[in-house]
Amino acid sequence: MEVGRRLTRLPFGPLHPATKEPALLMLTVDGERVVEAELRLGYVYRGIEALAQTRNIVQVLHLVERVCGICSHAHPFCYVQAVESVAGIEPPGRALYIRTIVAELERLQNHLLWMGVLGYQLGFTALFMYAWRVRESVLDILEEMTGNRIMRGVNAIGGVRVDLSDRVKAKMEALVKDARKWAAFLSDVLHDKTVEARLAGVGVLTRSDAVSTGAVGPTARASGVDFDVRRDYPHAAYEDLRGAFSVPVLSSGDALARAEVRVAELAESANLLEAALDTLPSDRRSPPPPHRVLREVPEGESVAKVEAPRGELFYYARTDGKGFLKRLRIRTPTLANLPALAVMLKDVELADVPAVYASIDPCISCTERVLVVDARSGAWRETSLRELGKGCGAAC
Amino acid sequence: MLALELLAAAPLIATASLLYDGVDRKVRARMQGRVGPPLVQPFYDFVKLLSKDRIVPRASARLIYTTSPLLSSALAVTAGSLLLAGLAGSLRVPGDVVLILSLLTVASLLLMVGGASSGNPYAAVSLARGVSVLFSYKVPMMISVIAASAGGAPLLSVAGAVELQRKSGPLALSSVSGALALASFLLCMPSEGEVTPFDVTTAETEVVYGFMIEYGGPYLALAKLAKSVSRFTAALLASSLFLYTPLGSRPVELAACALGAVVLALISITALGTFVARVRVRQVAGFYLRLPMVLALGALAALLLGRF
Repeated sequence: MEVGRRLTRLPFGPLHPATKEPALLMLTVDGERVVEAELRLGYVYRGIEALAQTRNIVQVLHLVERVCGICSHAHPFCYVQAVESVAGIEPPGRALYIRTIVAELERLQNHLLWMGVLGYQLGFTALFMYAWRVRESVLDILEEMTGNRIMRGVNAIGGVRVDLSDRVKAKMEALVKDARKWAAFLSDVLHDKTVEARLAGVGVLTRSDAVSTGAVGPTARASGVDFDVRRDYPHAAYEDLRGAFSVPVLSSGDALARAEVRVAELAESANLLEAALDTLPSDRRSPPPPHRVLREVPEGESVAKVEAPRGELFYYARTDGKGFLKRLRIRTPTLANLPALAVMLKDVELADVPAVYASIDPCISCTERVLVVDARSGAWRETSLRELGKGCGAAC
Repeated sequence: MLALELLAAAPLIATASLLYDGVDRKVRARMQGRVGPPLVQPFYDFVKLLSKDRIVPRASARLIYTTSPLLSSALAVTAGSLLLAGLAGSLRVPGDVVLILSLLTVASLLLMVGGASSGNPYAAVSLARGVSVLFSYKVPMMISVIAASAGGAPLLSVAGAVELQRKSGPLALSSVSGALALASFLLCMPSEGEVTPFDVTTAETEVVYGFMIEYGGPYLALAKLAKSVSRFTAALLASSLFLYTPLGSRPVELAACALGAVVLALISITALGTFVARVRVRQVAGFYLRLPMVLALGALAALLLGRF
């Protein structure tokens, strides 16, 4: 569609090999240069927050695990902390360590998956195959530990549902060594001339832009924002393990820096895993049964946050004292990083759009919300599934 | 007589090209730790695509869109057949090397124009990219071929280059100009094959297969055949112009030449495409104006200075 004499509107999505999930980047290009990028969402809304208000607190635990197929531990990990905070439940130390261990394994598999996606975006199929092959060993261990590769169901309110056997522990110790090797190898790959030529200086997000757009996670840390929930708001076993890891921070803010931060985090996750396995407490205790949890959680509200693989994940939960939630609010890292994406995409070449888009590691289905926009005033607000079911009516 | 020979050579070059595609996919998969598809998978794909419905986008220029894949594949197969006839010694036309490369160029251009006529904006972007890439690598490719075959008799013919090498051994091993020209040609081959790192015209994640985006069914089968034949013909041209080895009997030499083409393609197309990332359009043009062009001009200079 011609906009002007030289400008062309190019729909990058909603179904596009580079976006994976349905999101539409409407690009205005001048030849190969992107003049403007406008992100449009709304293709995979699932109404999870509204649905959470129709289920009891224990059922919601299983619901939030399904917010994201990649961060399927981070969401319930964050949710149980919010509910435990309202109820004043203290999980046993071993359970906190197991949550931490699984969180770090999840970070490993997420970053490896992401490296593969980056390779695919750049046409570097060998990198894609390598990263996804080594990721399998992480998933294999998670499967052996929990019975599932993706929806692992580790968390329970007041504890965990799985324990760590000596056999799995030994395998994890071997994995830690492998993870360091993968990190070293992937770091070399990132400095391959063709990869570097595609990522260095591309999609730059300055520190001030990262702060003003509210970027989080590796995206912010690659722009010099030294913030990590694990260190700055320690939860679970991170308080005990504070000395076992460092937070990689780079200042160049380009796509290469975002990749380098993630590769460095692989090694740091290995360090964390090693320390957690070495100091794993032995206080095995089952979590309280669901009917007791439903009885014991009083009316109240709480927030919790964890460092998901993509960045800070935030949960707000308000309970009604009858075993249900009055409100659940989830802020995923991708939601926080999307404004930064618009800054990164300005003035890049068309060829760089896939790499820049992938560099924030977007997860669209976690992020989707429905907004009701008043066409006359331009005012907007979020809506619930129930409201949508009734039709917008007077709200629209 | 020549027409009959070309007709006989056409299925041969098409079969060899698809078979090379199968080898390429298998080797690429093995290098990545995968099993990969069977060697004959490209034949299955071709037959299956032929059996699909023909779909023409409403916004397309119908005649150009539908005829381009057919014309493109016909031109590519003709180029390959001419090369085979030259190798067999039955075609001794001055300048046939230039004709073969020109046919391959027109085949590529036709496919791009046909795809761009679909009305899809990605195909239009791809056409703009394709023209830029095409002219950036075709120039050093043509110079290197001229440098290689100019010493043969008759001038610039495959048969002449073969005769010369039957007397004095493989050109790339017996002369500086031949070695430089082969190096330049090998660097141009990935662009001819539209593979990574130079597949900017059909990059999946950037332009969603570019000019191929709307093609499906028989049109896609023919478009893929055209690309496949162009890729293998370029490799066979390199093998015959630079590495033709006298082995006593013509059939053995031809078999060795075909094997050489596969090895060259595996090095220049398969291995390179597996282990590097895709470059940008301007990087493609910049690259070809530097190393391959310098090598090709060096080959020509060496030839003119009498070091052939």
